Amino acid sequence: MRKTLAILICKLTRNIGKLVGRGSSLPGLIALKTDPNILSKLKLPKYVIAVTGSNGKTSTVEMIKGVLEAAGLRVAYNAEGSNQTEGVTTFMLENANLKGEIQSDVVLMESDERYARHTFKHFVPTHYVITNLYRDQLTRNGHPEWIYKIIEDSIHPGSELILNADDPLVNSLKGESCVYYGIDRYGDSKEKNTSVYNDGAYCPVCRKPMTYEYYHYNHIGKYECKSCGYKRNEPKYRISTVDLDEGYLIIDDKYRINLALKSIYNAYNILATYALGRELNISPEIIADTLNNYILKNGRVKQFKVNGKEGTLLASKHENSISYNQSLRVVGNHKGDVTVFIMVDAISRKYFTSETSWLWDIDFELLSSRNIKKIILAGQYASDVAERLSYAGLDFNNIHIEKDIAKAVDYLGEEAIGHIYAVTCFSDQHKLLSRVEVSE
Amino acid sequence: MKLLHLYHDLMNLYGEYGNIVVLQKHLEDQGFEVKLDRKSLGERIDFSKYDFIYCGSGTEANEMVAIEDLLKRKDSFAKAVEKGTVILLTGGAMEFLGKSVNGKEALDLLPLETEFTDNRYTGDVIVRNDEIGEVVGFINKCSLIKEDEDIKLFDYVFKQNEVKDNAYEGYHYKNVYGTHIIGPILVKNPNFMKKIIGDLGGKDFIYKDISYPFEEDSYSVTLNALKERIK
Repeated sequence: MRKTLAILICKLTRNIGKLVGRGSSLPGLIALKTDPNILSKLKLPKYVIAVTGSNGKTSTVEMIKGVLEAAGLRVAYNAEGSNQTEGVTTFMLENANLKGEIQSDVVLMESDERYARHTFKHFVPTHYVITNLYRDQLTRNGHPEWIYKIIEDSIHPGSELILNADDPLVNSLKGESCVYYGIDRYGDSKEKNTSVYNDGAYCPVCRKPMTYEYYHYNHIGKYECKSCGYKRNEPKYRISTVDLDEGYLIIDDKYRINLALKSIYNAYNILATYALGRELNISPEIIADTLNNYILKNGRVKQFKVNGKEGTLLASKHENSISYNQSLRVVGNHKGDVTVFIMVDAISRKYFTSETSWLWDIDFELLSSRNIKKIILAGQYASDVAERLSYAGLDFNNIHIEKDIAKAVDYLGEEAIGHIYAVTCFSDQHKLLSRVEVSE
Repeated sequence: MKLLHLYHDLMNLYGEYGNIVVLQKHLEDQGFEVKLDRKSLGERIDFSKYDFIYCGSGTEANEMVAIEDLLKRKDSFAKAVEKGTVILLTGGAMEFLGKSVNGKEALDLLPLETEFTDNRYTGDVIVRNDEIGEVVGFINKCSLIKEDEDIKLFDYVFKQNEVKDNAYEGYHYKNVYGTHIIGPILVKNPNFMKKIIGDLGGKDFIYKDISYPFEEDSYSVTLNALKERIK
């Protein structure tokens, strides 16, 4: 009775909420107040898939949805922003009938790494994908090993873990059954760590130094601890070839996928999607077809024009150095002249912080690439960025600092050389997009 | 001038290397010839050779490994402390000098005791003392520490979130500065940087007034943003 009431109330408040443009957490909150055990009373479909990790969740979930639907499955999935317990409740009840039966073949959810342990008290995912553990939002998360402990608490019997073998921390997670994915050595793999920090310097198990056969980026690569024998698990699913210049990759020596977004980070999201799809017995052809030239709809990349000049916005996460590196690599790999516009104005859109240590973890040295002709720094934290750039070996004659965003955008329109790349966060991107012509 | 970045690859949670590279530059601007060494676990280290020793914050597991290594060098480190070597320990590294950290023996040079908890305290802060003035930063820890008010480094001006250990922050003993603030604290706080350089320069040293506009502006932007929160 309480169950039906909770579902009914949730559906009603959700519909009213939608009409007045309210978020997705309130209906779930009310449902949980009505019946705190509502989530464990639902009848789940055969597959419940959760994706967590520091980076790549949203993109991976989006591509998984595409693959599942291409395979003819009905998918209930939670859109970005509703991955905490209340939001998950709203989403689950929205997709349930009044008897509490989920009306789809698959439940697919992006799961906040800090909240998964609460959510999965009530139900256990059949497949749990963990992408990576990076320095991400330390103002809330503490540090990656802290999040690791929290994720450990969210792992229960009955889940198959699908893990990124190339991330030494993720690779060390344990579950009832584990499947690994990883990328073989490719053209851009390096024998030395080229980043300003190395979170793989010491073994996560015994804390003795680790040795790497190669790094793909930061601490992601093939590693081994000579002291305790801890090492990268053999991947069941692997990208055997990546060519970012040509823009394609090959999975398991056989399945070629062309890349709409030519980045190694995107390759990992594709591989995670492939691994999950294969574990659900979806044919590799269907997966490869769906992912071939797949253009993400999640808005991380946007095209715009300013004063007739073409630009690309690469939404990057503040307080997340690897997310920034990902954008800076795209900029450095551009064929032809480039102007880079970097804006740090509000550090977060969800909470307050004035913390800028993360700027020192970003590999701004990547901006020394010869195609980069001009760098413009905007927003209230422009001096913090400028200070970091002072120690990145860049030519300061090409750097223009204008904290005032309107003036900085005017300057961009007038002085930009070559293609423009704007690197900024979701918290700040509207401050640029509202001042330029955004292409469809 | 010889600088040591201790456990640079282990105690390195959040851009801490910024402290040492920017300090090196500023010392060079003051006319010093600077040599920077980076040392870590198991390496030979003669602490008596250095004018300045820095160690940053790390994960709790890394901190325990660092303490274990440092305990083997306790006498040499203790001598450096007593002789007045300028030492900066930030984040978890400040806990090294206490009696114990999470039940394990530490260097026992100061009357501090640290316990790790299951709660994480993170938040922006403003702290101050008369000599340095106001310092902005970020505290990120799970530890509760019993500090000693007689050697406190800072008083709190602003805490974004409450932490249940002390009404004051850090310690200043001889020329050792310990604070739970993590990240590039010297880069973000020109006054603290100047104080460290003054200590390193010694009695007859006269600080050449050099302007670092990016550092000064970064400091005032954050100080103002945090002060807005007090209102």
